[in-house]
Amino acid sequence: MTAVAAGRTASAPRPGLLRRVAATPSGVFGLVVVVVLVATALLGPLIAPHDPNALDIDHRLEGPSGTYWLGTDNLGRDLLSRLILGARIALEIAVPAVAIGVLAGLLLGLAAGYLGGKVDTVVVTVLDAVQSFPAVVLALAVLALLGGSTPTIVLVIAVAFVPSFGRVTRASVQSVSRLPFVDAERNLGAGPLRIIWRHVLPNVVSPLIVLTAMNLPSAVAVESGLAFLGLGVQPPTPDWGVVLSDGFDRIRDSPWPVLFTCTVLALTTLGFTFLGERLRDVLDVRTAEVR
Amino acid sequence: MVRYVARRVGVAVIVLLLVLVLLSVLVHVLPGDPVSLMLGPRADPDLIATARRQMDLDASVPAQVWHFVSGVFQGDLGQDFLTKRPVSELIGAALPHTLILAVVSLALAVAIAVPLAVVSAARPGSAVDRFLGTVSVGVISIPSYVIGMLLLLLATVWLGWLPAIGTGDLSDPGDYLAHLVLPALSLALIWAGYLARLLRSSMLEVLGENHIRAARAYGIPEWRIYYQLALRNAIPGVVALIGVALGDLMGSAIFIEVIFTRNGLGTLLYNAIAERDYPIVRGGVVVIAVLFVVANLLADLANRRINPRLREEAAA
Repeated sequence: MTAVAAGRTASAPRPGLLRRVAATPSGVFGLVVVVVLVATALLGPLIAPHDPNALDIDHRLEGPSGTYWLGTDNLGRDLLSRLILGARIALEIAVPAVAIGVLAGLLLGLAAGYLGGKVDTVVVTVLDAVQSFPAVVLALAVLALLGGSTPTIVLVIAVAFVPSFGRVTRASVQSVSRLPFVDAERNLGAGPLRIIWRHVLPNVVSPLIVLTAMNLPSAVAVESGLAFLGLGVQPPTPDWGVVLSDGFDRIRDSPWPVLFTCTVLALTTLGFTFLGERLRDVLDVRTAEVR
Repeated sequence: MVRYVARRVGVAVIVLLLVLVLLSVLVHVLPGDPVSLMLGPRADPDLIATARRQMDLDASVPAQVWHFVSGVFQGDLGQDFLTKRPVSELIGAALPHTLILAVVSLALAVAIAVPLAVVSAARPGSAVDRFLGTVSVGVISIPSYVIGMLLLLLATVWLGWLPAIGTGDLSDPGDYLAHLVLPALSLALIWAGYLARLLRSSMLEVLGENHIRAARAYGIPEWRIYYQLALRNAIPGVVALIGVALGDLMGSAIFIEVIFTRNGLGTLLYNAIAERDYPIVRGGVVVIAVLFVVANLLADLANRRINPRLREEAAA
C-alpha cells in the first residue's frame, strides 16, 4: 500500500481517487498492470535485453534460458525484447484510436442529445449502421482495400468505438438537459454552449472515463488480431499480433512464443478491464452498457 | 405492434442499404486500389484492364452502386477474379460451418451461464458470487483468439488430442462434433461471461418480489424458484442480447476458424485477404452484415413479443 500512496501524491488527478481504486485486489491488479504496461511502452528500447530484430540462427525456437529469458522465435529473435517493444506499438495504436472514438462520439452525442429532432434521428441511424458491423469485420473490409498503414489502422479501429461513446453521451445529455435547474438557467438566457460546458460535460466525463478504460483493451485486442490476420502492422515490426502469428506458424515446434504472447495479451486486457470496473464503482457510473 | 414492426423493419432495411452503398463506394472513397493491390504494381496493363472490367470499376460510381446493390438483392455477390467462380457459391459452401459454429457456441454459452448465474444469485455478495463475478469479467475481456490459442496449445501440444484441428466430416456427426468442441468453447466463454452477469442481475431484481416470497411460503422447492420463476424474468434481456451475440460470434469466428484450421466463412475471408481478393472479402462482409442486422431485428421483435412491459411503453 505504501507504493500506491506514494503514487497518489505524485500523479493523482483528484485526491483520494487512486487510493479508492486500489482498495480492492482487482483494482490493485488493474493499476499495476496498466502502470507496468505504460512504463514498458515508454522505456521500451532502454529495458529490452536484446535487439528485437537481431537474428541468432543457432538458437532458433528455444525455450526460456539464461540468455533469452522467454526463449526465441523461428528466426532466433529474443521473444522478451519483441514483447517489450510490442507494448509501445500496441498503445501507439490503441490510445489514439480510443481518443478519436471518444472525441467523435462526444461531438455526435452532444449534437444528437442537445439538438434532438431530425439531427437526433440521423445520428442514431448512422450509429446503428456502424454498430451493425462487428468491429473486426468493418476493419477487415477497409484494410483489405488499403493495406495497413498506422493511421488507417487507428482510424478503422476508432470508427468502431464511436457508437458506444456517442450513445453514452447522448443519454447523459438527454437526462441532464431535462433537469429543472438546467431549464431554469436556460430561461434566464444561458446559451447552449454555456449549458453544455457547465452542466452537460461534467456529467458525461465519468461514464466516458469508464468506457475508455473498458474500450482500450478491445482496441489492443482488435489491433493485435488484425496484425495476426496479416491486415494490421506488418512484419518484422514486433507487434504482438505479428509475434503471435510467427509463433502460431511454428506452434508444433515450440509452444513458448504463443504461450508468452497470449499471456501478455491476456494480462493487458484483464488489467484495463479490472481498472475500468473499479473506476465504474468508484465514480459511481450506472451505465453498464454491454457494448 | 404492427406500427412498431413496420418501423423496426424499415430501420433495418435502411441500415442494410447504407452498409451496401458504403461497401460499394469504399473503393472510391479510400485512396487504395484493389486491382493494383491484388495484381501488384507491375502487372500487365491488359490484365489490369480485364480485372477492372470484371470488378465493375469502369462504370460510373452511381452505376457501380446500383449494380452492386441490385446484385446483392438477387443473390449475386460478384465473381472471384482468380477462379472465376461466383462469390455467392464460395460463401454458400463455407457459411454452414460458420453458422453451426456460432449457434453451437451460443448454446454452449447459455448452458454454462445459467448454472453460474443461479449459484451467484442464490448468495449475492458471497465469496462464490464475487469469485464468479471476477472470472466472468475476466473471460469477457480476454480476446477469443487468445483463449482459442491457449486451448489449442493445451489440446494438441500437451494432450496430443488431434480432433482439435480441422473441420471433420459432416456425414460423420460424431467426428464433426469432436472437431467442434474446442472452437465452440473458445467462442462460448466470452458470451457465457456476459450472460452469467446479465442473468444474475435480472434474477436478483425479481428474487425480492412478493410472488417469489409467496412461492417460498407455499413450500415450492428452491431449485424451482431459481430455475423457473426467477429465470423467467431474465429471458427478455437474454433474447435481446442474442442478436448482438450472434453477430459478434460471426466476427470472432474468423480468428477461431483460422486457429483451428476449420472450414468456414472466416477461413475463406482469411485466404482472400492473403491473396488480396477484394470481391470475396466484400461478399463475406456483406453476408456477415446481413446476418447481423437480421439477427438483431429478430431479437428485437421477439423481445417485444415476450416482454409486455415494452409493448405498454410503446402504446403510451
